[in-house]
Amino acid sequence: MTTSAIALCILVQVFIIVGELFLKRAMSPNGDPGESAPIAWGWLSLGVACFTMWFFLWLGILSKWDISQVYPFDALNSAGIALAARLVLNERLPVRGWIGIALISVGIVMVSQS
Amino acid sequence: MSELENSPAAETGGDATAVELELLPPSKLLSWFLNPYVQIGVGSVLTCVAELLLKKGAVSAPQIPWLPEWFGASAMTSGWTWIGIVAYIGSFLSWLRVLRLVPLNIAYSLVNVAQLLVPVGAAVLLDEHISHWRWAGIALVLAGVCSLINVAAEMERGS
Repeated sequence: MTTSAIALCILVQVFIIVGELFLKRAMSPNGDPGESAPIAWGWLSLGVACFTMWFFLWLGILSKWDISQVYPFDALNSAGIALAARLVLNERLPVRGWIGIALISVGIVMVSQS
Repeated sequence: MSELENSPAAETGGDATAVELELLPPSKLLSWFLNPYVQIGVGSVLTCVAELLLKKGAVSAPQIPWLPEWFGASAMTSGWTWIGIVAYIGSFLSWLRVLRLVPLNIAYSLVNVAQLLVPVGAAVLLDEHISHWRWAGIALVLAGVCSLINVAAEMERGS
């Protein structure tokens, strides 16, 4: 893969991370789980906008590279999302949880490197 | 007449579906289906299906000459892409339900089971190759998923 392809894959991941933060805000505005909380439609539309951008960039990537070659870039995502959720949404995890996320990320990198 | 209604199984000689429906009433089935962790599984499968359909759409549609190559809008001319979009919408709705009930860091990592389904699906359906190294990575992901499920179960009990 070329440098520009990798940069494009990373950009796509940024859209996903930001989009997921928006969606989570939209679906549980106060940070606590529950079906009763109202949906924050403003955050939801921002999230959908991020995923729309992601979608077209992703289609572009898929048309040029092997699916199993580019998909594993989501490894960045698991770690990125977990960090962002910790920093932005203040979600806490026990150490075992972080180990689980690390295993998933390393596993996906291995899948992408072979 | 009312006696007959009360014992449909006896009348038809043991109707298996009637018994099954009695064991799993639709409302229970629905609440099981709507469980966020079941939805994580449903969403993963839908994402995987959508992904494979998009790939099929993206490679089968000709590049529109005046569009930049990195922008995938050309793929919209393929029917596969549109079926993929429908699958994505399904997985998106299921994901919104998950986000309502599960912390983002746990939910997102669990949804990575799709990471396994995509290369495996690509190998089976699109003839892409999977090496030993890649299988080892898949095993690590599975171990991580198990560990996270464990944490999630503990948090569910705690809350």
